Amino acid sequence: MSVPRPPSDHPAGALSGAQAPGARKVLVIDDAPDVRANLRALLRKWGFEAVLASNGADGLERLRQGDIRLVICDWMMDGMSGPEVCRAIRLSGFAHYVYVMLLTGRTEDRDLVFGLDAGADDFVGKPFDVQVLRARLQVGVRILGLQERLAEQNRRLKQSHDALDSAYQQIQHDLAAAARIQRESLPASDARIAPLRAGWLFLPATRISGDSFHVFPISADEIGFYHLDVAGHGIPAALLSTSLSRSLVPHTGIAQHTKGSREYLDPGDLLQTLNAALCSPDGEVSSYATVVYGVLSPHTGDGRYALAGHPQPLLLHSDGSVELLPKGGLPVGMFDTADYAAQRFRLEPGERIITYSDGITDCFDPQGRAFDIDHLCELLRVNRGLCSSALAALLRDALLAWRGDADLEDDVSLLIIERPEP
Amino acid sequence: MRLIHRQENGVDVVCLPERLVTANAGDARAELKQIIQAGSGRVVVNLGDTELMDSSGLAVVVAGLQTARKMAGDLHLAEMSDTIWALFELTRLHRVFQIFDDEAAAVRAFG
Repeated sequence: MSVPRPPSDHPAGALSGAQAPGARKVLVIDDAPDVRANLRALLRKWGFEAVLASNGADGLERLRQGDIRLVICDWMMDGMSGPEVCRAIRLSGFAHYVYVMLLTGRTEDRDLVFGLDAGADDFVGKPFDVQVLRARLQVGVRILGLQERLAEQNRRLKQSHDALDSAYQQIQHDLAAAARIQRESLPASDARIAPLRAGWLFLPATRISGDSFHVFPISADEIGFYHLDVAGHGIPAALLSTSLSRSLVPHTGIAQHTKGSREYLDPGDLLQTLNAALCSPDGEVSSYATVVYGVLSPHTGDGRYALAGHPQPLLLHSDGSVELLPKGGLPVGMFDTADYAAQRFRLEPGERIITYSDGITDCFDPQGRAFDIDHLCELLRVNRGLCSSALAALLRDALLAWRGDADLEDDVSLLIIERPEP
Repeated sequence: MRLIHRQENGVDVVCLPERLVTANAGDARAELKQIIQAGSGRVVVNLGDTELMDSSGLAVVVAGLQTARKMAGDLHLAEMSDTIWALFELTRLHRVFQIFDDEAAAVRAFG
């Protein structure tokens, strides 16, 4: 045990910057009472609170109270050696980092390596130079401050990560709920439109879709159907899609209050109303949609429809030929001057009318080829022997196979309404 | 985004980007509107570079047309690909716009 030189007359309180809590307390572990006393005097002079321990075990016990972050520890002691104390500190898993300086007369490289491997942060030679000890303590304080700031940043990052995570969970939850609500506005079965039959497919590009379609009874003599595709995807498109769906079904829509349920029997008028409601007053397009709306008598097969920028409905004849029904008007929500005239069609027994969104014909395979209308018509022709729901399921599989592993770029939907043979 | 823009005989000629889709439609729309309002209201939109246009992209040119017509001007379209033509045809918008094969003709049509 060498006795350090007497403290210099350096002014007290020169050591500052101990921002980290606990960095003002220094634990001195040394079995030599004179060294402990000397270090205590120096530490006090520099503005530290000195806590003394005469052996490693007592020192470790004291550290467990958690209020000390800086340790000056002798290497050679009875009981635990300095490196053993270091190793014990590193293994104890304290909540805060503990900075350990070993006091040693050893200067061989392999001794230093041994001490560092054991977990020491720094060494101070023995007998120590007071100014060197002071400077090295300052390094320890600085490193603890740095470590504390990092820990604080990590805490903040974790807090904001947790907040984002919980917001994300909430959004996912809301989206799932929205998707559920949206699916509820699609037909549940074709029982309500008997004796007509129906089949459909619905593949949203995101969890919720700008596409929507439905087939529903309007009166004892007629059923209604619509298919719409709101511009854009995701939440804004889905919101508008859901609200438009409501206005297109009797007993839930706004049109009923203004014009009565007869409104639903005139497809041209209905689209006119929808267009007026959707066009923004400043005359500049904000949201728009393509729509087909039609009515059909299950018993006579007489129908009429109006078209707003939507793909032309297809008539699948019994012989497998596919007829494109005539074109219509502009999408709703663009021009308040747009005109929508209803057009007639006739569904013979054994025939089907098919409406779809352009997500089907614009679905690209990995080589960049579109699924296109000819492909769609060919599949309809070849598989016309299937019932409508099986036909829709087949188209769904064909489309997904066409797309390959990639996600859908656009919402995909298709509705088949069938007038069965008597 | 910076739309490529120049003036020719008092007509604003604007080129739209290669992809005009939901992701950039908002910016393109605002910029096109700014260009039109700073000019005479006579606009040619060149779609020669535009390979992909979705429903949001369509709204950009429709809004441009509406801005121009509010100024008693018009918006002519030029050099659209077959794919984009199909989109205009499907939505019946080909009857709303004056559409030209080449840019020079679209500019000349303003007289």
